[in-house]
Amino acid sequence: MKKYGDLICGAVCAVIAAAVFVMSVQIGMKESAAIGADFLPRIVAVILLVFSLVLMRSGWKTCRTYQEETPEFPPNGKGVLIMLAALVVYAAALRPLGFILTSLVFVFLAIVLMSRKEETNYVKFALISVVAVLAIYLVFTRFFGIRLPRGVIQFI
Amino acid sequence: MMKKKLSMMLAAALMCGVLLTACGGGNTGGSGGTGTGSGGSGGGAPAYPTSDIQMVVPVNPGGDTDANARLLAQYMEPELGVSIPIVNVAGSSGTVGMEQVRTAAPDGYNCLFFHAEAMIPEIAGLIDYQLDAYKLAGVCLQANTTLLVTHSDSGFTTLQEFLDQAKANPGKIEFGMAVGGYPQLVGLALEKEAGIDLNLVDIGGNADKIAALAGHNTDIINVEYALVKDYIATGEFIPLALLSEERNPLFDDIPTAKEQGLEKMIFGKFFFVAFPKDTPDDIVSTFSAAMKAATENEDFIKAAQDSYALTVNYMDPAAATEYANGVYEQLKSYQDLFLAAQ
Amino acid sequence: MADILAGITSILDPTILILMFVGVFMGIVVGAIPGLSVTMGVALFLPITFGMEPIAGLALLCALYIGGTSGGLISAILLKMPGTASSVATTFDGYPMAMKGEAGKAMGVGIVASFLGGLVSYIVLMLLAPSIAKFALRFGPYEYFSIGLFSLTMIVSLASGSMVKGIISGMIGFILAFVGIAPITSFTRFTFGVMDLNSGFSILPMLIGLFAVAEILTNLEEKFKKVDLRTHDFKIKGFGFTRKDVKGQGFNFLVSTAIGTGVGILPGLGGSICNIMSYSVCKNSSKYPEKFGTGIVDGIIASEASNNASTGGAMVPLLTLGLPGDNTTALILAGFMIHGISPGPLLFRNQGPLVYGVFAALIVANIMMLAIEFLGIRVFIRILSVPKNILLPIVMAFCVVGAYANNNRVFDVVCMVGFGILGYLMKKAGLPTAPTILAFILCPIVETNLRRGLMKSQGSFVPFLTSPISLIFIVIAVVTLALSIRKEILRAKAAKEARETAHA
Repeated sequence: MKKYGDLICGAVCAVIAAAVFVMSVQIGMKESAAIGADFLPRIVAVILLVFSLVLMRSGWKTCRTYQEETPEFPPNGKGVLIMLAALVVYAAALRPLGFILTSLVFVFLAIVLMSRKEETNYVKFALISVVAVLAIYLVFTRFFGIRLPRGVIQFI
Repeated sequence: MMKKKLSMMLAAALMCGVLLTACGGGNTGGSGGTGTGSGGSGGGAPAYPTSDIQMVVPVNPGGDTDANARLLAQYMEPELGVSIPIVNVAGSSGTVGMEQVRTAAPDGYNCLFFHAEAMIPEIAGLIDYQLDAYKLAGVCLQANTTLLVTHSDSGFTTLQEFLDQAKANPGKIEFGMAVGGYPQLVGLALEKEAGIDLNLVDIGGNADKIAALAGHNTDIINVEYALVKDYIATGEFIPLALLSEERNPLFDDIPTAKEQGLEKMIFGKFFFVAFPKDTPDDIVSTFSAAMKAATENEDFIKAAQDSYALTVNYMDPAAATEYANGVYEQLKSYQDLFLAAQ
Repeated sequence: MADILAGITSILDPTILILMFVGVFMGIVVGAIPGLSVTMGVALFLPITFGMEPIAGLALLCALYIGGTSGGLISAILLKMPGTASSVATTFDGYPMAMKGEAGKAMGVGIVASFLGGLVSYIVLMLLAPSIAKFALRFGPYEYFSIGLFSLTMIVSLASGSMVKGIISGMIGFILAFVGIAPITSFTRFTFGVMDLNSGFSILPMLIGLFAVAEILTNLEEKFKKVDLRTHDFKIKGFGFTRKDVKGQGFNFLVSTAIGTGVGILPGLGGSICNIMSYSVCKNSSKYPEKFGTGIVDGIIASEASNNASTGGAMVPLLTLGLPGDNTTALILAGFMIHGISPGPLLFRNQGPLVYGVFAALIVANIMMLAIEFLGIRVFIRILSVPKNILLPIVMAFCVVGAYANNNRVFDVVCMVGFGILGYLMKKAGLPTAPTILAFILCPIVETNLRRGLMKSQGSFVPFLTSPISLIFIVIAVVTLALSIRKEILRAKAAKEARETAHA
């Protein structure tokens, strides 16, 4: 990843820059302003493109001279992906299922994900999740008066 | 070590929970109804309202709209016996909040508090609906306080002088406004009704316009009286005209545009509460009755006058709808000019 | 004179003092929790002030304001998540210090810097308010544009090590800011038809996402890393730092306070901008810029002195002109109006005791903030003893609340997750996030004022250069940019040479 990092980043940004430029052409000009809503986006797109290309070039050079280093720890790619999925589901289920339920599940899951084998204790984690989420919910809805999605749990 | 931490947290959380549930009732934010609804439909269904009524205000907290909503809610809560929490959903000239209520459940527990500017986005072509997409519960307040003001060094001190100068120097006098907003429409209307040509420049919201005028960075703006009271008193700002049918008793030394020859320059703001279109009529009338009671409360009237020099004027759903339509027609008559200037 | 005395005595009422204490405390809590903003806190308490005496209500609001602005440093230092947008720059050096076991020192320095920065700005407010306000009025679109431009050049210095990456990050920030309805001419840009995007991205979900969510993802990725548990020194003497620690910081403090006060005075610019600006200025003028970001007190002082100074600055236009300096002062303005008091040119004359009461309230609240946070350091620092695997998920739940409460919609939570992913990817690519945030905040200011200025001048760029204030800022911007670029080129050359001699 470190080897191709700059190259990929530069390439992605260059593509984004091009996309922004193209999209900004579709923003029509308006009469009442001397320069339109498309002006700044175009400038930004150009600047981004230029620097993306610069980055790509230095990325290319890095590729060639790269010395592979062994990382001191295995990166937990799987964990990150699971967490991402969990976050997305959390956000999506927030309104239908309500804050308490979704947060309970998420916090528990997150703690489990983040804990190493030797410190894992499911009962403890579950208890912590319940206490924390309930406390947060009560404090924010009763005391601060913030409204949170009720979802399926209507009795609290 | 772990057990100790755990039990500590548990104890703390339980304590919090007990404490806060106990004092939850005191706050306007407490969820769950705190009383029986007053009035309501005849038999069968439980009397409305039985729980909080959420009042959506589609602007950021802190402005006059928000303040007026909070004032109304404060006086309506004892009438209805439930909490009316204000929920700010700002964005895109209020359309985000408007949309939220328009598509909300028509159960009488979601309503919109806004003013005449709710009709502007439709006229500007931003959205395709205006107030007729809602069921109006009524009008409670009117701001007949829109003034045309200029600063002391502008070279004109009366409306007539301003008009003369504008005619002599087309396109030179700067009118500060916000593109796509009510002030722009007012500016365009002024140009059309007076037959003059001004330089309409985008400055922003009320605070920005006042700052610009005070710094002599613009020549003339339209603004609510309450926001520039002091400036008028010191003479820094000179009111040219009140854009209203008649003079406002709270400051009756300011002549109206109408009496100075511009009959159609009438741009007040009326504040209303609206429900989703399919909300049952009896729920709406219950709410409206409570609104009426609130508007008859002397403290409410005094607060409205003291804060923003507002006129308390209650209109029931039918009257409000008719009035709103009238205002809509007036604003729509400038639509071509408005769209062309976008 | 009588007014001043009347003002001071009006707030020495026990009820009001207790109210203010609660206000500061609540403000700190709200400010510290990532996701809750000062504005939200003030909005929450505003209705409660309706039934109070004007001075009581206003004292409470001011207390909330001060507490809220300062509270952000707690989570910024301990959790690397800015509690409010005003403490973003505090995370740069605050968190590294906490990781080095110096959390107490970082917090102590931040608290005292906040207190002193605020104090200086309130004194300025009291003595110079009317004249400063008159000056601030001369700032029109040309001047605002130039200041915005100048602030943007800070981006280059914020990206330590790679100017290219810094600029790319900044451009990403711009593009994110473009999404939504364009200023002035109300065209929807880059919304892909998604209605929720019409109002653009909110700064709060963005901050939470870029910092908190990205942090949790990064921590998760490094789960198997052998953690070097530096035992935190929980015994804190006094404020946690010694005189030696802050030797030589005087100039830094003064400059940051000046920037904060100045930015606060200008309506529309506030704490969220000045903390990053002060940090950059401090870094640029420092003898050891490379140390910034590793955990030095300079960065914390710059950021925290500046953001609290902006509260005093923001009160200037509010009290003298009736114009709010930022979102929170807009609410305080409402607090005035509700009581039938309209701030403006006549306020000092007509409501003298009230105005001086407000000044006194600011200073007293400032002292209370100092006291509460002083006692609080020992408590807050315990947060660090909660293991990350438990702490971070709980913080996430807080963040979700904050994101949702921002505008009462799930969309902001979705945005938060999205920004979290973005933040994580940017971290992997080595792109700094500070320029993104700065650009995002500044874009509306720069774009709106550029277009307004051109509207006003009817298409001509000349007034941007003929206005003296505008010209000064443009010149400073160009010079700063040129110097930074030169520094970068030299640095790159030196690095290249070092690499070549190493390989040779």
